[in-house]
Amino acid sequence: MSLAEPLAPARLGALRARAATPAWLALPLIAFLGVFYLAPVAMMLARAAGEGDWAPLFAAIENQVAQRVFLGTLEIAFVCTLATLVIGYPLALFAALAPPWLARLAIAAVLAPFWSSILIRSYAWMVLLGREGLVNGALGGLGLIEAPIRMLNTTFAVYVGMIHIMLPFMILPIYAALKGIDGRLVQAAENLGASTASVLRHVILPLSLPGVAAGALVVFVLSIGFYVTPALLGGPRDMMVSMLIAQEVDLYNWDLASAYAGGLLVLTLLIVAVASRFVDLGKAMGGRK
Amino acid sequence: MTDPSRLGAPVRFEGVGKRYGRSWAVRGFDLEIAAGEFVSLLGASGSGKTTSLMMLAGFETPTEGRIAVGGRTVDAMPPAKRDIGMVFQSYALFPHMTAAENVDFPLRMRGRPKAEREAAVAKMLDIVGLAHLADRLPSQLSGGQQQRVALARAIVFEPPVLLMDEPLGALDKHLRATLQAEIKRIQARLGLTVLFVTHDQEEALTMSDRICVMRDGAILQVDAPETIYDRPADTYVAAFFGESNALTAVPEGPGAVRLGPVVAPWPGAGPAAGALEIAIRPERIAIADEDAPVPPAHVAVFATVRETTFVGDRRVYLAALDTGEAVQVNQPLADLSGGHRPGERVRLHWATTAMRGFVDGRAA
Ligand SMILES: Nc1ncnc2c1ncn2[C@@H]1O[C@H](COP(=O)(O)OP(=O)(O)OP(=O)(O)O)[C@@H](O)[C@H]1O
Ligand SMILES: [Mg+2]
Repeated sequence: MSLAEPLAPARLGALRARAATPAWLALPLIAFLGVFYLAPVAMMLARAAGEGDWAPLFAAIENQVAQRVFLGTLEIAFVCTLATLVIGYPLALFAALAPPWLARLAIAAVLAPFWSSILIRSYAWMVLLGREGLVNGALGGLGLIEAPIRMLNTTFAVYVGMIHIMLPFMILPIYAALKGIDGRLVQAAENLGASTASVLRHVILPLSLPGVAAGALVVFVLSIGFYVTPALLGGPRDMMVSMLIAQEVDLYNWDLASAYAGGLLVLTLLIVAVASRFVDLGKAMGGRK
Repeated sequence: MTDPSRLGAPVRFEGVGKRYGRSWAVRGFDLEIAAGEFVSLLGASGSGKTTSLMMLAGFETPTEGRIAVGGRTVDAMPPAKRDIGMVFQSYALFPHMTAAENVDFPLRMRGRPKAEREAAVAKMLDIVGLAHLADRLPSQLSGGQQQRVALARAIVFEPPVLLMDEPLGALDKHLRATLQAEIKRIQARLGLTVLFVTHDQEEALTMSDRICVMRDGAILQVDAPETIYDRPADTYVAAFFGESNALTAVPEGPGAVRLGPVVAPWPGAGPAAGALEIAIRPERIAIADEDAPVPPAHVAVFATVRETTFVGDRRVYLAALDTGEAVQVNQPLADLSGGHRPGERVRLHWATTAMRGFVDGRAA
């Protein structure tokens, strides 16, 4: 049989393409990041290390409040990721299956919040969820509640605000992955006897997983560093790492703030590293092999 | 379908048509396929072959007409319920499943027990010669290997009707012949009804019980391979299968036509007036020395050899008749002796029964 080994030519091509890529095209970006990002981060990490005695770092690690805040932050990020996935996947699927005009409408609706800033959207939630807010007003008007419910400055409000803001970051990569699925595969599955549920489970779901992974990673990483929304909508118990850092900065505790920030950075890098072991991030973010 | 070992179901297209926008991809498609019959669809690109298969598989809804499988109309039946195996022109393998998982898919969807599935998949992969690549993903297989996985996946659940859209297009000649034989064997053993699309006339001739030639969405002729080759319904079909010489003739009284300087007996009625196109296969023409005797019931004309080409099992001559018309002659070679050189005067002759007449492109 004279069938060529299929892998060899493709590999060679990829190597050649890589060798020919001019690395200096990345120089402006590297210079920018070096001055405005890497240098400050290095200074911050040096601060956290505290002139070699590691005292600020130990203080940060041993601080019980900080421990609780880090765990709480991870919990909020996790719940937000899960919630946006559960809410976002069906919508992405709907948009991917809908006729073009309806799909455009759905995606426009998903993107609409980007026209206003996160700050404004968070204030909007304050208006909606406050004691005299629209939600309480409506519920009271309908006679469903007697006294206003306390919603603002609760964990509930943090979740509502953050899930709302994070949804597009989950929906868009999933939608892109779903749109990339070859319709003929669905036909083939049906031809081979698959019910609609089986087509979803065995063909569409597995082929959309790179999009799910990308969306989940983006939402999780954005969530653990989030500041504005939890600060405005949460109560005193809903402190996140970013707020903890801001608090220490306000108190001129630069060493401790640096240690917390370093911890957050390491945590984020760790998550990205673990995620990249399971998914081809370049591909999931829309690149092609 | 009384014999349980014979799986095949009859298929019937009745006046089926499919319109896209304002143009018809398929029109007036009438075809009856018996249970266990192997029918090939043959035609130029865009002639409506894939569209016909897609309507039978349930992925396109006919604009008009009716399709029945096993005597039951399937027009309202979703594709998953039709139990029709299909090899897609683009393979359509699931990229996230290995070769074995792809082949297993239809069995899994039918809820067959695991042990039975594993045995069936292993056997099927063995038949298509891919047992050693069972755990590869489609992206790690060559085009021909992918095509064989698609074939295995369509056959493994032994569907009563099997549709194949150029299933062997990407294979080299040797593998192609092996799989042609394998498909025929499986089909004959299970008694499957097969509708097979191909661009390759030789493949259609060797594999089919009947061949359906299509052009511009319409059926030109449906017949057994011998009939298609020997009695093509029109010049298009004649040109599609093998080579053919076209000579112009005029009627010469009843029962005769004039071909240049010679008058040949013509059994058919022929046109009352006007020209008749005579088609003769190159292998039916004999080439001989100028003064050689002509067998009885043969038509003979003089010609000059223009080119001669040696093709292994035969010599191909291009000769010019005295009328100026060019004629190709295929001379089978029992041995390499003899042969005629360019410029040589020769006598071409053929049996009167080797001539086929066409008027306005249709068989006369
Ligand atoms: N979805 C579609 N929309 C519009 N026109 C179509 C569509 N599908 C097929 N056609 C047209 O219908 C005609 C028949 O197409 P079909 O795919 O059946 O051809 P085919 O015989 O399978 O050709 P090939 O040998 O190239 O595969 C073509 O003219 C094609 O352009
Ligand atoms: Mg086609």
